[in-house]
Amino acid sequence: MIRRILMLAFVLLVFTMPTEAITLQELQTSPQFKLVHHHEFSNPVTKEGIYVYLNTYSVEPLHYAPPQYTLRGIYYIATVASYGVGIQEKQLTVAYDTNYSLATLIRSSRTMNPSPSMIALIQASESNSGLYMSDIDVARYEADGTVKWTKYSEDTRKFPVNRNHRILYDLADTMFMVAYQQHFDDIVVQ
Amino acid sequence: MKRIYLRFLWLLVCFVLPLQGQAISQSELLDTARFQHIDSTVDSGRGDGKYLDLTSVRSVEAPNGHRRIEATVYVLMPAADLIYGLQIQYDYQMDQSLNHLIDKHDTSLRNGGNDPYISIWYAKQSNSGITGTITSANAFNNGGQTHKQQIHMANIKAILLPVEFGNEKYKLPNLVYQKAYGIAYDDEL
Repeated sequence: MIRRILMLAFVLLVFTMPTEAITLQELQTSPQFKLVHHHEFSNPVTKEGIYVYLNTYSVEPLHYAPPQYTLRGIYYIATVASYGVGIQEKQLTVAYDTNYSLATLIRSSRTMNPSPSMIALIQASESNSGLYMSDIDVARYEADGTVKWTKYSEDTRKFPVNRNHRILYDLADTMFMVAYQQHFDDIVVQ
Repeated sequence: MKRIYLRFLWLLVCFVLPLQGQAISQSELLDTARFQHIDSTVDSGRGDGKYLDLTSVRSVEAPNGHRRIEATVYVLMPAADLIYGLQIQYDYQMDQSLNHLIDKHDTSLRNGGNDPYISIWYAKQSNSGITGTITSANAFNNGGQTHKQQIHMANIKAILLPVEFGNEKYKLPNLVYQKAYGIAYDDEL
């Protein structure tokens, strides 16, 4: 009986482990990994560069109370260089507030009479993008999936994300699209 | 002899007075009727920072679809006993103003387009629509006398350029445009 319970616990542990080794080939070929950002270093033939993939299967809603939403997902940063390949696994938690989406800001700017200057719109979009996130290192792998180290911290410090932070913004927006089939900045709060 | 003397006086008026006009002291910059302080996060709050000479703003000839404006900006750094006088020419690409891009986007949406709103911001981030060229630079001390310090153009350029959407250097050319045409560049349709 004890043996059965131990076996069951082992099976459960294996299937619910938060981190799974990942290879570069899986990131490049499996449809569950969406390429969100890439930057080739110089030689396009050797494909050296930085590639950021979102695991679309990992996206989960933590909080749903429109116009506020919170999502969590796993993403990978693959660095492909002549000296080797490194894969970084990270967990991103994003709190969205569509009161500050571009569509909402533009709509309210258009309905005001007299209409405020576009400068006011730019300032409003810069002072609060409506996106707050926390970003945690989970693990690092080599190209073949060998784990270099794993770490999990409960560091949940949130920081605001500006629309100029292109990689983080695109990750947050892709997560939002995976969950709700719409771009975050296209949601209008009436 | 008298004629030569008079001609000399005219030369004095033509050359010396404009030069004196360019030299500016710290106390003169506090004249709010002529100079507008440009708020910046790097200001210490002691009056240092950039000042737009409102009398210097003038539009100049530009190619089709563009507008060009010249202006003089003074950068006051009292702790370093230094004032830079910079003459800058801004070029504005009219079909890249934010209002024009939003209007174009909304027309496209009505006609069945599906570009997201963030694409407008990306378009502005890759091309703000404004470029600037510094045409001359002078250095003075706090008292307004010409400074002997050598001017490093690379450092000077970094004070006002590049004009990228979303950074602080973007506000000044919008204000300059407003002074010349009555509305901000990004409000142009």
